[in-house]
Amino acid sequence: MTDETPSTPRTGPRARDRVDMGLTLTTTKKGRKTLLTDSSNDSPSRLATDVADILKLSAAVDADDKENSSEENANLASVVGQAVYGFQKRAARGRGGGSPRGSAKSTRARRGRGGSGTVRASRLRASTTANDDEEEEDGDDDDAELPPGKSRRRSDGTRQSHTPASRPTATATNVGAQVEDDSEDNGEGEEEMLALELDDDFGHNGPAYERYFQDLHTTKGSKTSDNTLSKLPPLTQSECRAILSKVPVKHKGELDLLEKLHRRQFRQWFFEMSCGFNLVFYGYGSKRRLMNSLATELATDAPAVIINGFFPTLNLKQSLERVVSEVIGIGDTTGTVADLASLINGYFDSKTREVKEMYFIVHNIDGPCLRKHQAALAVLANCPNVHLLASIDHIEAPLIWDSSTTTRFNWAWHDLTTFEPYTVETSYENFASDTTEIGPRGVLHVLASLTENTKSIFRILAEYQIAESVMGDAATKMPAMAYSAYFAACRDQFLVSSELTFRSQLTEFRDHKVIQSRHAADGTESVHIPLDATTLGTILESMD
Amino acid sequence: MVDAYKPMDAFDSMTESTFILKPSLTPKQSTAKKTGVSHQPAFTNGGFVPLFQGKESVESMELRRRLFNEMWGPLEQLLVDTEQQVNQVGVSEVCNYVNSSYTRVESVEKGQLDQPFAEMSTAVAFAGVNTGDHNKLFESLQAQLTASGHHVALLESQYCTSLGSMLKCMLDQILGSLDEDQRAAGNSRLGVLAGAKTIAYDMGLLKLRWDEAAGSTSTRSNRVVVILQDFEGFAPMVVDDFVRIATSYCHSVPIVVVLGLATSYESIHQSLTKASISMLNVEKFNLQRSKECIDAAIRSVFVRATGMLSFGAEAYKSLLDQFLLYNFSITGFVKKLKFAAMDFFYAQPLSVLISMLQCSASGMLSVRDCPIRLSPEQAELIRMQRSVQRFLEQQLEETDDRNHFHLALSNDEYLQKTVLPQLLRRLVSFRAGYCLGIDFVVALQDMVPESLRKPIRTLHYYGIGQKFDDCMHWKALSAVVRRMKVPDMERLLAKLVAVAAAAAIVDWDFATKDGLDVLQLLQQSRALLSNPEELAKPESADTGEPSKRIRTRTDMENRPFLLFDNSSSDQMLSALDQCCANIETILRACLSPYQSAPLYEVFYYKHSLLLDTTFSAQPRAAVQAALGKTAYYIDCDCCKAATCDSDDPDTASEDGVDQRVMPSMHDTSIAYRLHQECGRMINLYDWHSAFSSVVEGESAKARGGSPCQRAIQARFMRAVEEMRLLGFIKSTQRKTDHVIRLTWGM
Repeated sequence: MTDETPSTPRTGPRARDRVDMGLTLTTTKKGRKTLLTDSSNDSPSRLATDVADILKLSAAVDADDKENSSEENANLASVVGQAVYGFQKRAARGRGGGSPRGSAKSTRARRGRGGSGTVRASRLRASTTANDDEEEEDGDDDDAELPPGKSRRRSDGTRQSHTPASRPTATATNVGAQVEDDSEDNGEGEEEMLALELDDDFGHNGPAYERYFQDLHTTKGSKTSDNTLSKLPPLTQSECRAILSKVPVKHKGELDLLEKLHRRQFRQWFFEMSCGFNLVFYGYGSKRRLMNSLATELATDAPAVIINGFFPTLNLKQSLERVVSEVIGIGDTTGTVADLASLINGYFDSKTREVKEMYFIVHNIDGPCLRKHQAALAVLANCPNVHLLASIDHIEAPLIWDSSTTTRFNWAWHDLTTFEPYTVETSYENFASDTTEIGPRGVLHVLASLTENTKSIFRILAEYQIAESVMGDAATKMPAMAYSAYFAACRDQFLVSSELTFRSQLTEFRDHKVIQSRHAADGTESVHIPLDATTLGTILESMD
Repeated sequence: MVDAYKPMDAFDSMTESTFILKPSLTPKQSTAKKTGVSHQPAFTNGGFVPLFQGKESVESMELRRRLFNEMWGPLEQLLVDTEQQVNQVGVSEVCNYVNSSYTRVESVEKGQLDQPFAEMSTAVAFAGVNTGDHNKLFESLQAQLTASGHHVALLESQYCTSLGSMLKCMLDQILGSLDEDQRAAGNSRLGVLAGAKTIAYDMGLLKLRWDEAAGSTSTRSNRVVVILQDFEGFAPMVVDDFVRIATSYCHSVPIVVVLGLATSYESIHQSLTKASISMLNVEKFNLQRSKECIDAAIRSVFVRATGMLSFGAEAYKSLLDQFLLYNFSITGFVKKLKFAAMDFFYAQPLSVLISMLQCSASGMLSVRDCPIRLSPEQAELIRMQRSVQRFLEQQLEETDDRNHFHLALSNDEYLQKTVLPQLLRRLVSFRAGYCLGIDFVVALQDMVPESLRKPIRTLHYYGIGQKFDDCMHWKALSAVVRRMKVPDMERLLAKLVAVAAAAAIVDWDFATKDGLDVLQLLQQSRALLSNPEELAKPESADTGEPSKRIRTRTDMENRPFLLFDNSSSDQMLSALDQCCANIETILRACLSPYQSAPLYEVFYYKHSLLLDTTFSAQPRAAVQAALGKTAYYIDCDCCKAATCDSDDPDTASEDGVDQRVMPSMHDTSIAYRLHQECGRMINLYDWHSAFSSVVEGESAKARGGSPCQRAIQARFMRAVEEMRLLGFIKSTQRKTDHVIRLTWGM
């Protein structure tokens, strides 16, 4: 086998790179060798838990599995097969997955339609040396690239695919042996490999969206593995931030140059704005810093308003009210967002205004809280003396504007790709963290599913907390309400009739981490919502 | 969470989402404010920067800025006027309808026939899909209706979400207009409810006020006009209710409704119930005139070149495509045009040359001296233009004046004073000739079948985009000319002569290559036609025999009329042939490509790509390129070096896309590339494994130690969060720790 495989030269690496993300490490032979030597030092126990690692450590497993029973190995192989399978695009074309026990065989059955992971899984039993492994793998992978019904290899594949199915009791060893057979078949000659490669290109260079439909119709249920993130150590958001702040920035020099080029355009953008265009910035990377820096430069001339559209509880009405009172100088405004927008528009259209111009910088105009206010923002932008600078990040963001809004906005689009991390923009997300608090968005979600009565119970506490934080000193950050007082207040408003029902309501809140309780030194219980007054105010408003 | 969060900078906060920066806050400005001095603008010179790496003189930069304002102001006004003029036709039709509505009702009151049902006069105005332009259109309609004494309410769907708000909106406007009427009539008793805090907005109030106003003044000819600008945007129920209520009042208050439509007349039937449609007395109007408008605009801006800036073929195509293939929006067209003008004056150092062109009242361009001295860089740039080089070489060939040639190349002063006016004169003549050529074609088109007529926007596109001999349309037209009978030809020639006589005097020596005198040629042809024997005599004398030429097959094909009328003489036919040839020569000369004009590189705007990226941007493609083809943005060595490292150079860049995932790539880019290989569902844990295997490779190479697992995890989380923010994936409840992939294909 080793003699033949050199004739199946470098069709492998590229094809494989495209196929399985789990195995991308093995891009070059050199790279893999390093890794193999690296990881072979690891302890067997880690191998058992870290499935993905096993993939890279086939050599180590070979040594390891002498100690394990063959049954265990079959299981292991099946898990590995699954794990890899989740990252195979074409494998999804196969028939439905077999039982976990037999999946090593069922993946074997599918080997004709590719998936190097499958092959590797079977190879767990192959008692070859690491070097041989490599060679064999190249051949295997090429074989694995074979799309169904594309070449004469197919008949071969179907013949073999029947074998395990007809022999459901076949052991993993048999499977492994067959793999070797196949790879021997494989090394028939260069010509064939060339043909296979062509087939491969034909099969995979089609539009990628086709895969969506393939996946949609041919698979029953999910083909991804059952691994969960619980296998990873928990990481809180603050830890995450701390770690990330130390991670070195890639391509520092190039990014600096990119920023310099962007900054050079500031004057041009200013000219465009003075000609009546509003600017919208797109492209990958956080545009916050550059836009803020532009805003500070612009602010020497006219007031600039910065709105963080990514803010999860952004209240545009409040923001506009602030603008009206602080920039225009009209206090006590009421009305909807649209009213405020037309008020500002009217002010900047009038000839007798004091403030000549205003810059309005909206980060993430496609933010969740701004999506429904586009018409109002368009009214604002329509005024020739209000200059709007906005950024969008969502790839489908332009869909939020219909044709009349687009006309009002009068956008000039600019690519502002910065490659900067979206640290601030994503800082409100709670991904995979085990924090005890849920954010304002979480509270809103919980509240949306509750009855009016229960919402009112929440409201009482929230209003109390807001009142306290306004009245009280700054020292008490989280003003809590005594349990008894809370109960009394709820009872007075006929929200609960007995303490039992009150308790159950509280338990529900507590389960959802909306409300926390603490015990004072004297034993009295007090409850509070772990959010600050401003956020609570926003939540209360959006509850209405 | 709240406590732990440390803001990144001054504009990041866990609790605040809005920050207001005021100029008075900066100390330097606050003193300026106190002394009453106006603020310094953030960027001087309106954002203009000196070109040539800052070597351009301030004078020249200021000139560019001034020229932009001087040029764009009138041009914009011209476009607005054009639009208004074109729309005027439709608007006045609707006005006439409103004026004549309810005349029947009035006659009913005089005791004639009584209608058994109430019907409300309704004008359905189809305004086209270019909703962006509708504001202007309906505002001019409103203005005209108000001018003829009607009380008009213009409603937009965004303010009329419910019947209540709709009535409020409408009554506010109409009562206001009634009040004004009364004030004008000298009635001191203003608005009954002016002092009232809350007004119950209903139609009863309108009736009351209407009767009142009718009592005080003779407003019987007035109507109450309610315009629903974007009918499709209104909730059907709201309009339905409104129609029913308004109909019941239309005996006492003459209400006319104007429904503005963007899609089709069908939409009325789709949204309103039959009952309410039956209450409307509908008349249809077509207000969609954007094509006429654009034709008029193109004629004045590009063909006549009053704006002095012309568009090259590609940029013009981009401009036209935006209009024809997108939404027929004039606003969009003007926007692009403006941006092109901005770019021209902002970035083209030779745009100062426009100041040398002067537009006289008759629309004729002439050349005058440049107000500033050209800098050496500018002079050099002029010499570098291919068209200028060609021009000078041609001059050298013709005159063999080596001294002139030498001076033009070496002496800036000479270039500016002598050569540049020559160049510009020739350019101006070329333009005048081109304009005349298009006018000829338009005149010619009047005489060809309907199917062969093209709007001027297309003619201009052919004129600048294609060579005369390649263009099918010109061929088709000349084929028609060749088949013309004598009387037709006479008419055509008369027309062309009229066009040529009316056109600005063209310096033909400059306009065309051979110094052809178009007018003279046309006159010649006419004379030839009127008296073929006279002029053709010498030739016939040569042949000696006045016999009829044999009618060849081509003859018959070209002139089918010969089949029926064989009376025309040979001389006549050859005269016709001569005329055709002359017309073709003239057209060919006039419609020569703009690339033959000197300095066309400067004066014909060509940055179509800029226009496309600025107005038809593709944010999704940009993000995908940044993540998938990072080299497009970052031309780094690290990722490239790794690519070249591969064994086979052919596999490295297959169709320009590097398939390899490099550890040196940006984190999100790695995650993005990995996710591209997944199906619909992505297991986060496996994704993480793949990610970490890539990232580990990096540090194994670089530092010999794998990065901390937690760091990888954090980086992965960040990448996933970013991808979620960008909209590539979304979380799902279907399976634990899975996300759904949302984008397919590039």
